[in-house]
Amino acid sequence: MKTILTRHLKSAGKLLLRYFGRTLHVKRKESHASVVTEADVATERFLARRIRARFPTHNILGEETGWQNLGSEFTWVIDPVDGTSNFAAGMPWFGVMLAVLRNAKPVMAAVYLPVTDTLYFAEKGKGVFRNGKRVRVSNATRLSDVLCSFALDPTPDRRQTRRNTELFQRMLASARNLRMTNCLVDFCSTVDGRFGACLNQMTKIWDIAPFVLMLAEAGGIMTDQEGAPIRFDLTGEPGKRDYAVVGGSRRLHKQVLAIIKSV
Amino acid sequence: MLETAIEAAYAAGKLLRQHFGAPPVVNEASHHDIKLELDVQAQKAITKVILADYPEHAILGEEGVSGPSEAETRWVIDPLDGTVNYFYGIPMYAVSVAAQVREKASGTDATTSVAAAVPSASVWRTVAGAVYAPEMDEMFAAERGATPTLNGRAIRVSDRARLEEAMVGIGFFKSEETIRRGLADFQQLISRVRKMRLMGAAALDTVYVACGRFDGYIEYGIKLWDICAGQLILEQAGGRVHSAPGTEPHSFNVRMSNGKLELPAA
Repeated sequence: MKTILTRHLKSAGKLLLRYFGRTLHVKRKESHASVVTEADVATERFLARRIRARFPTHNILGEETGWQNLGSEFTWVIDPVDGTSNFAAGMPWFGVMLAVLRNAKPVMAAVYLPVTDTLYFAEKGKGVFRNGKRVRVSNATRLSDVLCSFALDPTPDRRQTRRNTELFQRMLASARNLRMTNCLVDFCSTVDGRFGACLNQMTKIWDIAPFVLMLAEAGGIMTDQEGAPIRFDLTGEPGKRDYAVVGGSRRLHKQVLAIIKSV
Repeated sequence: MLETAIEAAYAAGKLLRQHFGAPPVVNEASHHDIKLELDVQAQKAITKVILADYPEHAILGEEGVSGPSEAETRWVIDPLDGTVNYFYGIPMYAVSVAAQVREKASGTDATTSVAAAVPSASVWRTVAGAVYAPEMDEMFAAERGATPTLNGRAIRVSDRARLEEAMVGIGFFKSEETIRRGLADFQQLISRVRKMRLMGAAALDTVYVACGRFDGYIEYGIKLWDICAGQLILEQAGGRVHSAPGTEPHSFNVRMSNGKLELPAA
């Protein structure tokens, strides 16, 4: 398992880099979208093939290839390119990730950022490592001492938009400042303590499965926005469920939850 | 002067990169800004390069003005844009170095004053600028009248004209007024654009619009040295800058775009 999560994941990232090079040089009038889709599909196929070869009975859930449920207790969750908008715009904030779920709980996960050649790897009970070095969440005591990330996607629901901007405003007032770059990059920065906490109003299972494990292994926590543990439901169409999440060190996570409750 | 700007930006960038990720020495910490020991050292590195080439020029930065007040050329520098990111180990930071020349008495022409973006008795015109991002090793540079470059290759703004396909950067300088005004824009834009980005480094936001990565950028209360070089690069790359004086000295409220995107009115 670990080989796929480290060596093959890095190869997948290198594959992405080749496509990234192309997005930088596509002619102005051409659409970036096609290159992104190609990169998405190629990377996911690359990983799915290696998983299938080594673990033919395991389930695979991919953003591109969908849900292959073979009834195994093990499920591999693939996100071939997180940060497609950045990828298309020529910015380095994107990566590829994998999580292994056993009975719907993440037990091993890895995230690879190819531009900076950074690999985060976590195994349940054994900690989380960035390029081989153990990392932990922030030890700050107050939100006002840390940067936090906040991600929200446009929603047609106007009440939700109002609530989101209200929450954004409260967070901006409480934290040192806010950052919004990319889901994966912002979560990684929270895992290794460069950010104190992270909020994301709309994620899918493949966006968060690695980080539910990584944050816990880094001494922190990721929950839904009521503070309840995230339980993945693999029945029906698991790729269609949305999750609003908050993560961080336990101390800062509690402070963010209090802010959410106040909105 | 562009060569000097580039050399100075590299000198400061090298120093910053060497110390990036190490526990920083904080001289003075407040909720809004952190001054770093390295900030001072990087400033010295830039000044040294500039004064070696142009000993008679003045230098303007966060620390104030140094050099002769009657100088016809001044350098507007930010040795570390994105100080907070740097402090927390976030790689989005940059060095910004710009050269400005004093306009002659007839400097009342509207385009000139916008280009110079200095609402003081003297009107200054930016003639060269360099923005260097050490962690990505990206050097953005421009001379007035010439095509701007990124690591030597010509850059241009994006063609995206519609908000729903646009990526727009925004920054929140932490004061009551700037936050209030920035939030009003944020609220307007968040449901209309494809993506918003909060990067925390104004010089980078500006050059990211210049090279087409972003399509627009808005910030209230940004300082002249944060955007002086970037603004020239953006204008030379085909972008548009709307800049109005802010409440503090040398501060501006800016709306920048690729020249095609219509950002809604503030």
